[in-house]
Parts: sequence; structure tokens; C-alpha cells
Amino acid sequence: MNKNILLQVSGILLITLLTGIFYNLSNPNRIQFFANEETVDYSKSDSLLNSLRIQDSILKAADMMKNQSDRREDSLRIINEKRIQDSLQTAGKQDSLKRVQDSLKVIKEKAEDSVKNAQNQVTEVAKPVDIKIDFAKALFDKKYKFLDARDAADYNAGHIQGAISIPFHEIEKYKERLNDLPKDAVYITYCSSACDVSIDMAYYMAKMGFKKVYIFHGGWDEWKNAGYPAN
Amino acid sequence: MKKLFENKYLVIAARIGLGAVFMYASFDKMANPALFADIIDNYRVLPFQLVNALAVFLPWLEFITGLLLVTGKWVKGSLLIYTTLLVIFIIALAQALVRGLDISCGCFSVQPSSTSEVWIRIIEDLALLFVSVNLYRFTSSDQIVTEKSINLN
Repeated sequence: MNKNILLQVSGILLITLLTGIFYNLSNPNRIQFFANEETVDYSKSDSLLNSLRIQDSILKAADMMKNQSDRREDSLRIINEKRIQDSLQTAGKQDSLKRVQDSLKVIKEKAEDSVKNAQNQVTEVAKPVDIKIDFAKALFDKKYKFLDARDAADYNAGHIQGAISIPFHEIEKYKERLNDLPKDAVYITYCSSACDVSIDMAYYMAKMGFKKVYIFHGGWDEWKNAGYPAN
Repeated sequence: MKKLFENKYLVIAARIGLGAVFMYASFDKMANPALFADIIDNYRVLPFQLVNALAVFLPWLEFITGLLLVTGKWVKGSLLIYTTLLVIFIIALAQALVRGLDISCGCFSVQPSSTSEVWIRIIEDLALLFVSVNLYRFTSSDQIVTEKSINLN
């Protein structure tokens, strides 16, 4: 190899380097020259699962309190119906029952607030969040939508029950399906397990304006192995 | 073989053909660097940190090399890069096929294709490699640099 060829190769590489840098900087679809390591961050998954469990237990407690309150209201009505003659005694009982009713009302309101806060924690996701299978199952039980980012053939071979097929490799073709989905609902993306399309689709959706997207990294393989509902 | 590549018309046609293929292959990648980065990452041969840089520079290397071959400038240097790139592409495709990776080639388009197409791409690349190696080996700089050397009369 002579010196002239080496100079040509160096020149081509230099031009490539400069053109590539200039083009990428001026390109609206630019990417980082050196990507940050993509690490799966499960730190939020457990706390969100706890929030969901707290939400459930608070809802149960609120139901119990409501039943209790209803029973007390019934007993108050029965007492009133008896038309107790002693006005002082009757007034005293009514006051104490009213106080019980008021305190139950306050507790009920607090419980409703707590439920709302817990619910907000689960449904207000600024950017896609990595989640584990236990939280994914909890979301499945809550009837949130799962989006299958694998190819149609893989989806047809088996998928999470009720999941919508949106093959990310053909996203331009299936974009309409995403457009048809309400942007403020909760979605969980998944693929197989050793794949990236669920991540790609979650961030793609985030760019489209979806604000509550979870990435279930375990994907179809983990779901199937766990024996959870599937088609 | 040497005699074949001494034919000036054939040499020019081969050079322009090779260049056009690389130029055509570069357009979609330049337009969608993020998608191309995903495709490179799927080959599982590069550290993640280098994937984006390759996705930015490789299409331009293809385009500039192709352009130089078509225009007949710096042809020997371009052919050397062209041949090296083809060898790298063939190795990357072959290892993906051997490892059973379900990947999209990303050769001419960043849209995915099935694994079965990887075979076709390897064969195409081998054909291009055959031409580029022979162009580099059997032709002198004078022969392939420009069309000026052709005596049209």
C-alpha cells in the first residue's frame, strides 16, 4: 500500500468525521454520539406496587367504614322512630350520634383523599417506568391495557390476555392503532424478554404524548412461565 | 480474471455500480440515525456506548466512499475502505446468522426484514466484495481514476 492510498483513506475518514458531526448536530432527529448505558431501573416498581396495594386496602377500609356508617345511620333512624319521651335524654343521644356521623364523614373524606393520592402515584407517570412482573400482574388485574411490541407472528403464537398487537418494527403501519388509544390512560409495553422493542415503543409513545407508560421487561417469556392469563 | 478487469469500460461500470450501491444504502440510514442505531445494537457485537457513533458516521462513510467511486476521485483509497467495510458487514451478518439472532439487516433500509433475508445480503455482499477486491488488485490507478484515460476514438 503506497503513501498516496493511505493519504486518500485518511482524507475520506476525516471528511466522514466532519460531515457526520455537522449533519448530526443540524439534524432534528439527531442522536447522542455516545449513548448512555441503558440500565433497567426497577426502583419505582416496588413502591408503585405498594401504592397499588395501599390503594386497594384503603378502598376496602373505606367500604367497611361506609357500611359501618350506614348501620349507625339505621340505628339512629330506629331510635328516632321510637320517639323517646324524655327530650333531654333524646337530645343527648342525637348529639352523640351526630358527632359519630361527623367523625365518620371526616374519616371517609380522608380515606378518599388517600385513595386518590395512591391512584395518582400509579397513573401519573412522567416518562416510561421499568416494572417487574408482580406490578405488571397487579396492573393486569386492574384491567390496564398491555401493548405487545413483538412481530405479529409472535403475537399470534401467544400473548398476554387482552394485549393489543402493535409490532414496533412496523410502527409506521400500526401507528394508527396508537393514535386511536386515549393518551391519558395507563399502558404497559412488553416484548419477549431479551428484546428492546418494548423500550423503544414506550419511549416512542412518550414522544407521541402518552404520559403513563410502563415497560414490563420480563415480557411474554416471564409472563408465560409464571402461568398468568394468556391467549 | 486480470484480463477481464483490464477492460476499461467494465472497470468504469463496476466502479460506478459499486459506488451507487453504497450511496443508495446510505440514504435511509442518514435520515433515521436512531433506528439505524437500534439495528446495529441488535447485532450484539459493539459496546453500547459506540453504537450511536457508528450509526452517525457509517452512513456518511458509505456515502462519501460511494460518491468518490462514482466520480472517480481517490478511487484506490475508496476501494480499500469499501472492501474493508464489506468484510466487516459479511462477518457481522454471518455471526448474527450463526448465533440465531432475529435481526433486521439494516443494509439498505432501517426498516426490518426477516432473518431469511440475511442470507441474501451475505451473498450480495460477497458479490460486491469479489468485484471490489478485483478492482483494487488488477487495476492500476491510471485505469480507474478517471474516464479521461479512455480513448473514445
